[in-house]
Amino acid sequence: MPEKLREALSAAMDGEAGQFELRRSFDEAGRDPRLLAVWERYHEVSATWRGERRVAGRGMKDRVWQALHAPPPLPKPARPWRVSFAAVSVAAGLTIAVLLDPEPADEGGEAPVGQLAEEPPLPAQFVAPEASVPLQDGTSPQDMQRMRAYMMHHVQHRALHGPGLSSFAKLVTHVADGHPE
Amino acid sequence: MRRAARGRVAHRAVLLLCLAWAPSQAEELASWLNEMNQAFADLDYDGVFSYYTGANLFTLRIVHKVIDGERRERLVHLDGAPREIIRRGDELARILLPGDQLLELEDSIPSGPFAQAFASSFGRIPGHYSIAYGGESRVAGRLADQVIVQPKDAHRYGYRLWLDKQSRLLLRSEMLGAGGRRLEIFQFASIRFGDRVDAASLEPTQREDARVVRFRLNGERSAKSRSSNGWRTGWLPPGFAMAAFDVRHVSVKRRVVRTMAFTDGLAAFTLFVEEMPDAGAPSLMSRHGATVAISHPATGPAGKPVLVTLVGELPENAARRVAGSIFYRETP
Repeated sequence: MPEKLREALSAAMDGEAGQFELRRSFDEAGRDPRLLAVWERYHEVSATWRGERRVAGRGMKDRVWQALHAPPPLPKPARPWRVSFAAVSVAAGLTIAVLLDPEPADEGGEAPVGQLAEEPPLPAQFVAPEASVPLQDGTSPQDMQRMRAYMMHHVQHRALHGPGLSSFAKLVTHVADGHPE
Repeated sequence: MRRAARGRVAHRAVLLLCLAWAPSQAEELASWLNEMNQAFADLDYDGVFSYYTGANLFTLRIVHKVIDGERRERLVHLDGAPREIIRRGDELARILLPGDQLLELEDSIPSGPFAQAFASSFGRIPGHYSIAYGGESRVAGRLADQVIVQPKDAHRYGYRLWLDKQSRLLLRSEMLGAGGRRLEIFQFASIRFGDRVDAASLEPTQREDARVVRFRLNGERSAKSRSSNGWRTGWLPPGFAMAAFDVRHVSVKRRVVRTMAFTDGLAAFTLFVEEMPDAGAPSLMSRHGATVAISHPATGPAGKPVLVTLVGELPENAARRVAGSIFYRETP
């Protein structure tokens, strides 16, 4: 086991590691049963030091996963609703339902990883898209919730029933058929 | 003189050739886009793609396979909170972990007139967009042809599409605002096709504490109307028409919200009209990627104040103009 990782796990257990490092360490540990065992041992020691009871039953991994997804303890600045819409793909039809997310994507844990998930893609020719415009400061929670709900409604219907890719096909078909407006 | 005349003749000949080429190019592009449409529905593929919108980047995996004539699909959110959506025909299941604050989806999505309305409005599109070939390039390690869909006015967005040369599957797309600003980007980073797509990859990740919510595309709920019951728009971008009107009760207070969906066959927006909340509501605007949301007070039946909210893929100016033009006139 790499010493560096052992130190990272130890730091994580002592509360000296940040969220990112904690997640990375846990990921590493999750891939190797030996590391996971070390993680669990560290956690037990740490819990004993803090005078906490040991939690029996479910696996350590699951509990840590859950902890990683608990709401952050510090109050966050007001965030705009975060909704995404891929208007041009059938794949995006379902994507959208997955992406609709009132919280920033970088505050969760890692997803269940498939073999392809280990290749985080960065598109070629990438140029950052236009920045979003958030709701103005001081927007009431009710107003934010309403905007969010309507956004969800629009996106869901559009994603599942909108023209998607077919619109492009039909669009050009119509041009080719010679039936302009 | 004779040389100049010959030059003019040659020039005209080239112009004629170009004109002759234009319709055949449109036909060629039409066939490509039809193939693209079919490819998404018919092919077996397994890929990882990125989706950029606003300031956010998301990475997802999609597995799509047709088994015994039924479309099966699995979409996995690879960033942030673990989420999956599994699709089997018209049945969909959403898998979340506890603590995930994903907004609730409606449990039943009507599949009838909304989609039909979109389809029936394609006839209006050609007047408002032009289409061209953008050249050949490489995306996700594969050769791709680029197709450009350009709006002819400032009331809608444009698109660039990269289609796989072999399968015609969409490998990359960009939604473009004024001056070619990228509003949203979708792109596969890796993809495989056909027999290399394992049916086992369609199975959801097993988790003891996962929450599974099922919903379906419901063909029975098709009683939507194309009439707006007195609600009208004073201005619409040319080519847009109402695709569906719906009255629904939302939230625990069972507020009545009237919903009107508009489309030019490609772009779409939805108008929501409700009674003004007791606490009032300010005019609000927000945009995320290409999707804009605007709230605006208006006057309803009997002079009562109402709140109009527009959500859609429209440039901000057009969205403001539409939202500000809503009025009520009793239908005789």
